[in-house]
Amino acid sequence: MENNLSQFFFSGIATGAIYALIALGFCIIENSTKIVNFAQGDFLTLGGMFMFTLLHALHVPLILAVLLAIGATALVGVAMERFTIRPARSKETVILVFITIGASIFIRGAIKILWGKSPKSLPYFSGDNPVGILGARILPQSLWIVAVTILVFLILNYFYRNTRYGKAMRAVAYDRRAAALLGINVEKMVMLSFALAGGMGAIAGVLIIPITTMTFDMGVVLGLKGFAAAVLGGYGNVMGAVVGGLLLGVMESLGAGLVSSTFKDVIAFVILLLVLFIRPRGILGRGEGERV
Amino acid sequence: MRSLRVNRLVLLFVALVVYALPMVIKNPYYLNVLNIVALNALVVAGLTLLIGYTGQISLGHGAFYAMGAYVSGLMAIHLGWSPWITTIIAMGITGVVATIIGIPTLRLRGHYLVMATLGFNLIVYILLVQLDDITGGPSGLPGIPSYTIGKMVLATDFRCYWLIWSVTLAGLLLSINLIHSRVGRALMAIRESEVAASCLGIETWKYKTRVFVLSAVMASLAGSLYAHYMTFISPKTFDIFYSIEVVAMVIIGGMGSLWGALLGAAFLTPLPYLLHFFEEYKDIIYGAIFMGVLIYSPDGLVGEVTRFYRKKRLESRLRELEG
Amino acid sequence: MTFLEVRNLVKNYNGVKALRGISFDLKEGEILGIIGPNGAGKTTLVNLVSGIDRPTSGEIILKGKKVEGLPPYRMAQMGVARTFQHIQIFPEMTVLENVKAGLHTRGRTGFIASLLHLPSVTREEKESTHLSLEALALVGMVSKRDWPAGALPYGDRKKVVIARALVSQPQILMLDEPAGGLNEQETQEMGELIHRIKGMGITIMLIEHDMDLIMGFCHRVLVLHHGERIALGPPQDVQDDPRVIQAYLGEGF
Repeated sequence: MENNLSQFFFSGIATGAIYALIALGFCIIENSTKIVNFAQGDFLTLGGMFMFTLLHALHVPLILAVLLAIGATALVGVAMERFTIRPARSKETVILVFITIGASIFIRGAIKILWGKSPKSLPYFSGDNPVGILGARILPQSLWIVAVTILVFLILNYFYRNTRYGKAMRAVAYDRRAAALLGINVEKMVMLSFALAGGMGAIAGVLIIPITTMTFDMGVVLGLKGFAAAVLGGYGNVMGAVVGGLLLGVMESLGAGLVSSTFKDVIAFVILLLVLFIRPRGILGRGEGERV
Repeated sequence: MRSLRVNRLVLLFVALVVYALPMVIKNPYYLNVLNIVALNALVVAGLTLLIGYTGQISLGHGAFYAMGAYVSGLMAIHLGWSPWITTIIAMGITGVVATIIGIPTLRLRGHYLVMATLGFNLIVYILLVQLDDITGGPSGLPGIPSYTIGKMVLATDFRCYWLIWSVTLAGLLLSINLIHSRVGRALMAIRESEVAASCLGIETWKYKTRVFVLSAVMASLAGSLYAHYMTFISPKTFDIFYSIEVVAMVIIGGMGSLWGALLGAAFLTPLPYLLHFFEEYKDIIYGAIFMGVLIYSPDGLVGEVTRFYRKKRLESRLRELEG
Repeated sequence: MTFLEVRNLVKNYNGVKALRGISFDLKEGEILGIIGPNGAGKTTLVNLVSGIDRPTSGEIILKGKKVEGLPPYRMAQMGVARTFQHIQIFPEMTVLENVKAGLHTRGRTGFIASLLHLPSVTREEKESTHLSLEALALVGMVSKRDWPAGALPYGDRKKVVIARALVSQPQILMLDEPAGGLNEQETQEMGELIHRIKGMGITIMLIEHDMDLIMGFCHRVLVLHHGERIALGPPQDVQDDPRVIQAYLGEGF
């Protein structure tokens, strides 16, 4: 039983790391535009699909394939911003959010045309011999995922705190007009954030395509889980995205292992709702009331 | 008061068109699409009160639509009660559930509210799929009895057309009444500034909860009508995409207007049917149209119509002045 | 008769002391001016009395009843009305709708009656329109009744918001910088408006930077500085108080 518990916990951490990575993508868009980008999950699918084509059809070396997949998806992010968000006549949040839903439908349709409906799979980065940690057996691919998530978190944290671009991006989210008055190129910052979010989605896609075979509509469920993780941790908070992601992964895994695997999502979402009822701005979210 | 009268006149005109249509359109396939338009319009009208007038978003109304369909369908099948009765019971049960969900959920704002309502929808959807002993699971629930009036069974698209559209038009009338009243003003005040509204004595949480419950009950009614009209339901109809689609109808129609609800439903509902001819390209075309409308016409279809009308009026005034 | 009594009111925001034990009372029909440099705690005080914020400690007593910590809608129902420094008009509603929304506490129509449009609704609507037009007449805005409030110029919005607060015939009206941001002529009009309100016998708390308005209308003036009460008394006495002069000079006035 104890070994089981440890197994559930660590596989939860591995899944949670993916959720965290997706949540970080949501976080980046929030921190430049204050909108939810529902195409984030589809960036992940795209990244995985690019990776599949590069490795499988074009036989590009692994490292190069990873970089190219990230770059290509980042370009899709840029295109999305350039052709949907920027020309939007209204800057109202609800409308922009629904434009991203339209973009998500569009991207998913395009993936279905380009790659078809059949699931795609790739070999693990570094073999499939499980590693033992505290009585749990973990796939090396899962270790890759956790390591990359930690790395991405550290880089993003540094980016927002210490770089000019990071600070400028947050300024844009806080007050678009004031940021423009300060000489910040608002459109460039928003575009850059979509490039980053695209790249972030691709990283997640590249990492999980060996574990879960990739289908064109995979982004829907994973996107929702990432959004849930971001909300759980405190929306827009980098640390919150990681905490929320890991917590959601562990909750699901424990729920599936100890209670029922058919109802693991129900358990996770019920806990999410309960957390929100107690902390309306997520675990790490600070309460900011309406100012008068 | 003037705009109440204007809106009622428009509704009368809409009703005339609606009741005249079956004389022209006899094809049951088209009538079926029109019936679905009406059901969606009823859900969207409720959501317009919640989103457009009160400023609270919900991406979970598919769950209430599902509750109307499943509760009423299951009771009619297993208890043998009249679908009219089970429809009303389903509305009551949905109202209670919406109250219990609404009170804690409506304290949330923005993205948190979006997530909570989505989460509720996901939970209900998974339960519909997994509790297959009761709901029939993913393969659905067949054999739901139709409504009957005396000896007449409302089993055809044509007969259901009268029933469904009458209910929807009634729903629109009640909604029009609501927005032109003390309650309607309170709802709008909450949308514009919650703090200022509460300083005028408006119990914001109470009004938010009640309009949420009202919109949920309207969705439940539409769901029951759907179940007893189609006589077969499956979870797929009630997933989060449905919730997203109806909110998209609110926005694409024109958020602050009940006529937008009707236009949004009339525009977006048939779209997938029309795009069917494009086969594998239908998704990207749908996505592109969806985005295009939101990018270039954020005031929605009602905004376009009023702009067109104003322009015409201005032109005729100019002509008068010249002539 | 003491109408409103504030005893030892303290408010901390995350460790910042916005109010450090304020006490004063307000008699029926009195006009109390509240002045002080920016950040003195004036708006915080109004927020506490109107129920938007809960005091950290202290008591607010309205007509003998302890009311601190009650939600804003309860305060409004008990006759406390206010305007906001940042106006908080309902921009997408018409001017008339804005004022009619101010009648909320006086109306009784509920959801069911509204949905069915019962005869009582028609009656109440007529009555509300009538009262609202009276209030709009008072502030001189009847001719713009059908304007979307968001399209009005700044000065007009301030008038509409005052009509919205007044229409319910509140017992206490708190005006948060009614002349703030107005030009000289608009300020003078606002003065005339406050004069008319004063004639109606409503108890008023007036926050203002415009000293002419304060000196011209207030029976007494409360001076706040860094969340503390540094003077309370008739305008003339307060004006000559060395601590008040010091506070304002220190802020570069």
